Amino acid sequence: MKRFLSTIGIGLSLLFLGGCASGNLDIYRDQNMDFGAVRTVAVLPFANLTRDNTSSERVRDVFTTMLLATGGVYALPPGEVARGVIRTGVANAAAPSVEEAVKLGGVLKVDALITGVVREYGEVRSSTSTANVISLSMQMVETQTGRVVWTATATEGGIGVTDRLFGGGGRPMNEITEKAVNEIINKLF
Amino acid sequence: MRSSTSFSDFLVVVCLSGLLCLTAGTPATAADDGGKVPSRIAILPIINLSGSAVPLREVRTALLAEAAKRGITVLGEEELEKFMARHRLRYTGGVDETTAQAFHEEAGVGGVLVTSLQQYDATYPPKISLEARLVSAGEVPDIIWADAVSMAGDDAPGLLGRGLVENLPQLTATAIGRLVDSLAAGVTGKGNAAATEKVAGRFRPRISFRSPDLALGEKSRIAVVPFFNRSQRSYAGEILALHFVRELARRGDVTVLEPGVVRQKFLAFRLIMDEGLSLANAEVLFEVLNVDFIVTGTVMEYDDYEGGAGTPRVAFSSWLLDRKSRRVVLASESHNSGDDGIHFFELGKQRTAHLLGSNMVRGVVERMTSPGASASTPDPSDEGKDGFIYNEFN
Repeated sequence: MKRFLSTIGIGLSLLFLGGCASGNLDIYRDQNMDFGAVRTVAVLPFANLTRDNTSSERVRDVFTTMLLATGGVYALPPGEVARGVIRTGVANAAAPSVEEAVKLGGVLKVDALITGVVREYGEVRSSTSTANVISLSMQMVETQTGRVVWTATATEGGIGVTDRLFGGGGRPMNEITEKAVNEIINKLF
Repeated sequence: MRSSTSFSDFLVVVCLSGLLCLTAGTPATAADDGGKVPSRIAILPIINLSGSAVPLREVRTALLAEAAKRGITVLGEEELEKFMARHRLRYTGGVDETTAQAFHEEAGVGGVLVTSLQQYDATYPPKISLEARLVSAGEVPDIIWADAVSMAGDDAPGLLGRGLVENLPQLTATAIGRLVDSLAAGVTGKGNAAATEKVAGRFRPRISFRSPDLALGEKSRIAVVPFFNRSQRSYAGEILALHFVRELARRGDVTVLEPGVVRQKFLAFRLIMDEGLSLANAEVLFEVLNVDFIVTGTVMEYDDYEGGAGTPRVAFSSWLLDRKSRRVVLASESHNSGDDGIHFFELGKQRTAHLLGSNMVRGVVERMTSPGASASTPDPSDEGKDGFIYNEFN
């Protein structure tokens, strides 16, 4: 009987540990990269997969200011980034090729480029409930080799249980944008 | 009896001396410029930044009448028209160096009043937003005085709605009256007490970064370039730049360049901003304008509402570029709606985007001009509580 119980105990423990094993699948960090060496970055225009035309620019703006506010790295002003993109003739600034990333790094004199995709931004509806939602993913490209050294995703907002039960329309868009960007930056440092 | 008279004389002398000492200790404002107070001014035609058709002539006539009522000597209409025709002066939103000098030498005026109409909404309750600045005529066009007024018909409804203003001409007259009162105080060198008002916490930037190397002083020269406009509102970039010019000029502890001078250099050097100011363009501006800092940014939202129900929304980010380091020394992100922090009976609600934007810009300027975590800057302990993210690093 004792052996039976201990077998069940071990089995359950393994089951729970297995549940924990999924870990941070939404982050990738290159183990060989020295992130402390990244002092200056350029935040490139984000790709926009939403219906809101200005969402990518709004998120980029919040991200750049928040990145500066962390004190970890210096982000170039967007006007300077735009000049670099024009000078190097990058076809799609939201997703530069390896060669383009290296070239951009040389022109802008930055250690890394940050690209991103805004996948969802705005109101979602489910039966009678509505709420704001944002979903982002970002990448850091090292400019010496053009390799992707960090990626992360974040999703905030959406319709929760309380929204379904009591309504309310969720939190304001600006608030969840800041939260999502903060979450992504926490995954970087 | 005699002794009491002497004592009262003594008290008067003491009070006057005290008053003089207090006046000497008052921080200088844009209007306290002593020798620069002009005796005769020119009032330029009003520039329309409202994005809609506006009876500018009527508004200007009312402005001229109010100025005359307060004893401000104004350059005659015919003389002004001749001057403008002679110099082919079409842009009236600013004064460049050549025009300022010509005004001084040919028209004999000491200052030029530049006025912009930023909102003129006749829908009930009506709304109006006016902004003006007085620029000195002469070799160097300096901003002597700057102020703005923004009003809505339901700002103070009072008991049973007795305070409601239903028609726009009445509201316009009140707004112009207030603006000219402030101008008269500026012209007579009395200044503007509102310049040192502390901004409410809800209008401060939500996220901000301030480099400890940033030190603005009296000798600091700042140029404000138009903000990149990503909002639905026409001229929002220009309006926000004007907010920054006004708020910085009113503080009086820095020198702000007249936007007309900045515009003229943009045209002369054919500077075009792609998604904002590049460092190459900034370097040109640092040299030709001889400024220490440049303020730039992006406007995301600048929305007013029509009618009685609704709330204005303003969202923008701003950057301060430093000449010495060629780096961003202040970055901020601000967003608010008119009813933020309002819980009871709409008390304290901001009814126009102009008023909301002014307060938000004042919050950024406060952060810009106040070193460290002084009482006027977001408290680091606020971090994470009200959406404030505060930082200062090397």
